[in-house]
Amino acid sequence: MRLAVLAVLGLPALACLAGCGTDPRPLEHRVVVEPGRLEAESRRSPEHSVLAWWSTLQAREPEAAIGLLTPAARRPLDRAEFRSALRGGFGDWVEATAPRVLYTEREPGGATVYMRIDIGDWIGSVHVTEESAMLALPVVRRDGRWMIDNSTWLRVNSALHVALQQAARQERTRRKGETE
Amino acid sequence: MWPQRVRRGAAPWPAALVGSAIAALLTAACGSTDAELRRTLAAERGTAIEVVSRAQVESQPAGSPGRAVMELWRAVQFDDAKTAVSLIAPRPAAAELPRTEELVIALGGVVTDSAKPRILEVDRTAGGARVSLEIVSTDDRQQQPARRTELKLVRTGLGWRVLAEQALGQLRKETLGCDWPC
Repeated sequence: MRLAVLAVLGLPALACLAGCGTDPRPLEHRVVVEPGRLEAESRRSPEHSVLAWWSTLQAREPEAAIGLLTPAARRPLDRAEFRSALRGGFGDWVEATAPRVLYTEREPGGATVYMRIDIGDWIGSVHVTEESAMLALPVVRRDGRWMIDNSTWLRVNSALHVALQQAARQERTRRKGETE
Repeated sequence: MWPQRVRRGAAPWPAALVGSAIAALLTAACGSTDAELRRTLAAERGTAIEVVSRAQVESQPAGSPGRAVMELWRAVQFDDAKTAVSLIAPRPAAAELPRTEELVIALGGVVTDSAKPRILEVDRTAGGARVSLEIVSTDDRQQQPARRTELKLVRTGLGWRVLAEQALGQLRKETLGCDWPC
């Protein structure tokens, strides 16, 4: 079932990969949660934890990102797949995003942080937004800090990007075979 | 989940530019306001998502079937698998939970990104309820007419929950275009 879902979601992206050629990798990796945004949140707040987690993704630090997940969220995560995705296209993609907290709903022992993620590219400290998406992350308090309590979004995106990487490799091999 | 949202309908950038320019010319010719122009450009660039707001969720009475449906819609729209799965019944077995969460998130955004729900009617039955919904497409490029659907809910000790089998079945039909397995 997972493969079928990924196939449905990934086909148009594959078409793009085939048509767009290979993007040059960024020369350097930056932590690009908008300057000042992380500092603006209280360090003890759920919002700060969520933005700090996002910055670990943008910095391509998988172990740090996993460290901010609860054990229940870590359990179903395929770590090898996540690391591979973060090194590759998923890391490229998340690096070019700008997260903004919309609001937080608190419940006993936890909270849900609702965010808007602007997707596009960074030119210096200015984010050029091409599209936006929404993400809500449930967090719970563990040992004095807020931790992300669900990894579904991470799992789905990791799987998709690894599948895309594999498909891109196959496509390159196929093209190479055609030209030889 | 969003890298996929690129594929979900946002035009490639050059096409978006051309579309934006044409839209700008058309709207300018019609004497539109700057606000309308900004909305049109945002829609062309794919940044105009119709988000279910807190106010819309809270417009349904707390603890009502309608509130459960709106909370589920918002959870799916925000890729919040934990909340989404907590609002369906029966709860998936532990072994099935990760796959169910992934299915909801992978397919849910396809439905909720470019549409908004409007609750038409709530019909309570013994131990259950039916919520009639009108789903209005917010993507002008797709030109889809509003469609109606009905969700069945059950009352549990934790409150109203949407029947999983029916809801997931509809999700699969909407996104994969067939009953599972195709």
